[in-house]
Amino acid sequence: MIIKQKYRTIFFLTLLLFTVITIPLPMYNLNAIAIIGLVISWITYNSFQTKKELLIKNYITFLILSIPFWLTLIGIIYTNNNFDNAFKEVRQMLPFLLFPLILLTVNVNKETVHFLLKQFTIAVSIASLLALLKASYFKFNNLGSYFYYHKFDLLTDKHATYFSLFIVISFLYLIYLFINKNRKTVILLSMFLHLLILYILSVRISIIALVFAATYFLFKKIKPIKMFKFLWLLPIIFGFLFFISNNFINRNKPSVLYKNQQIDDFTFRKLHWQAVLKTIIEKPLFGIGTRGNKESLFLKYKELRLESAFNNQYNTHNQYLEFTLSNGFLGVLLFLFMLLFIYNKLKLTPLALSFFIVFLIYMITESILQRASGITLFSLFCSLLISNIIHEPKQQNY
Amino acid sequence: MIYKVPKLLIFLLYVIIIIITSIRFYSKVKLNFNQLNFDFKNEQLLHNFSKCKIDSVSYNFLKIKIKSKTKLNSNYTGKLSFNNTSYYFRYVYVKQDSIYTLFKGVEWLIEPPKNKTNLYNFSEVKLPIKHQKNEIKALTIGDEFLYINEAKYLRKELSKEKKIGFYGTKKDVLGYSYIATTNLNKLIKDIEKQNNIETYIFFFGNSTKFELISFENTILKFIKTAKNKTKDATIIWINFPFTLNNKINAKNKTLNTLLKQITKQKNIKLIDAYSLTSQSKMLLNDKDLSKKAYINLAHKISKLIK
Repeated sequence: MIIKQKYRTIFFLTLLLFTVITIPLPMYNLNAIAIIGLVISWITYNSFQTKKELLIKNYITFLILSIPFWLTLIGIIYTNNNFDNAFKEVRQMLPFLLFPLILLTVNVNKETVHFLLKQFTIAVSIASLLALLKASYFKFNNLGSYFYYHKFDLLTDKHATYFSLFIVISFLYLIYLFINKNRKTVILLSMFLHLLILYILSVRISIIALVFAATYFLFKKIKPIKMFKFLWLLPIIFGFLFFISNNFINRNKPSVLYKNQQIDDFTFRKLHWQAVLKTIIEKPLFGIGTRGNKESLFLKYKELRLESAFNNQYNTHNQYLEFTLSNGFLGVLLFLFMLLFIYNKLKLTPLALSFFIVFLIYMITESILQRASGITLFSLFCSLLISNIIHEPKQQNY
Repeated sequence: MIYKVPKLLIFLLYVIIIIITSIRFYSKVKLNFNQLNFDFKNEQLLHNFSKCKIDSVSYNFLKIKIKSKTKLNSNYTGKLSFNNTSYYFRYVYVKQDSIYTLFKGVEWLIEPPKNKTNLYNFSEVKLPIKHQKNEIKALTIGDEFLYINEAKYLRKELSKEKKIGFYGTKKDVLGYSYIATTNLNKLIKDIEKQNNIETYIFFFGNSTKFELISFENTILKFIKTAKNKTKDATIIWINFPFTLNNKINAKNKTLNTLLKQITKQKNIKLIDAYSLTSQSKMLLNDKDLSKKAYINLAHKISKLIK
């Protein structure tokens, strides 16, 4: 019986590990396969009775963490798009149902959390090294330079903004390891790799998120230690250096089409959000529904001469506006309630809260819950950390 | 008791994932990085023009200031060189005056030059496409709907779906060959020049003027020419697309009805571009097809190719 439980546990942990490490690595379908495997391993992990008891004990947490899934499901009822299209979104949001369900019905201990975070960091480092190798091959064979922004995407097989999100989360964990563990040389080298990739990706929101989250984390962990009193200022200095670097200055040059001319991103973003807000006002209470027909939004892009947005059918590039557009003010209030709940659970755990800060900041300029990578990362990490907090409430000083 | 995943298992998991993702990357690399399709080692210099300065450049556009009036051919590849660095580009249109030469619909094979102050050497080169072993030899035949605007995506998407080598007398902006002209007799002659073609794909848009009276004979002539060249060739005919011009649209409907009868009689595979392109987001303007339309057509064609 004990032997059987050992193999069931290892099976479950292996599939959980597989799910975590396939998030940053290339090929999206590997992660989907991992999640299916995780569900199967969860079914065999513990008894149905145990699952039921734990679910009943944590049902409020489960319902709140799965709010995005329920919003998507409800949105199907009144969407102005066809059912098949809308149902694809429900499928895409399944991780918001599965991860809370799985992780709240098993007992997640601190060792498991740190094991998975460490492996996530290793996977991010491997994905970064593979992409660097490929970029170097192209460069040394005069086949082009891929060491910049969306060109680097082609080698990571992930959108630049999402890969930068993985890097930032991973970097925060490296800071934790540096403070708490040995092997500081290896950790420093890995940090250098992460910063190099952030420079190559040149995603501005990544630097802002990292500065805020790292400053907060260092302030909480290091400031009490006299000799490191001002070390928390380091992220701010690094952030400033990034923003005055060549790659980042290039990112601020006019590059987006507006009235057949090129304008900078900030100006474009302002106009873009104007179009979104005008569309939201048309259906403010319940929104356009799940995968609702965004023709009205695209027409606004056309009216405002936002050629890039119209031709590429941009989403809102802001998760809060995205929920408001799809599910109205009622929907976004529920989503904000979920975020408040998560904050309340994580507030005593500096590392977990710093991860959460990163997600909140990214949601300002990217609809991160519109892509599988963002959905999986956010729902998995929140469910994992909250599950551990529920299971071990007195071990949250990390 | 705390159970852990064995380190060997973790290591094996990473190794397997890295191997799978590397194999996948390698198998798709030529589709995602077009420059790998070109045989740079067998570059042939055709014309060396005078030095030039770049007036303006972007990802799809180049304007150079050049003294001599050069005769350019979009079938070939343009090359700007400075010191030991070369910038290769292909283009759809070129417009010249006494001072400037403007290239539109540009595709940079590797990347565009960043420095506009350099004095570049401008030349025209022949850059062959690498052909793959066991590729399906295909010929796309038609009119400007095979090369203008977003038409480059038709052959590009087909290459992603099947191992296909495109042949023909002209090259599109991505370097894929095709045959296109509104002169139907010339088209027949061009088809006869191509050997060992396994798949013929016919697509006429709204540029070629087919006469109703002679339409059936014209189509049968094309089919006969193809079958004479390769007895067991796959012949695919894409019918006339939708257009917002009512007069042309009405004629296309009639021609499509005739086309349906002919292809059924002759056992030719027919793709209904008209129904596809009458849906939303399939037209770029009132007559030209959008990228989405060409990608959809490529998917339909690939299903018919063995």
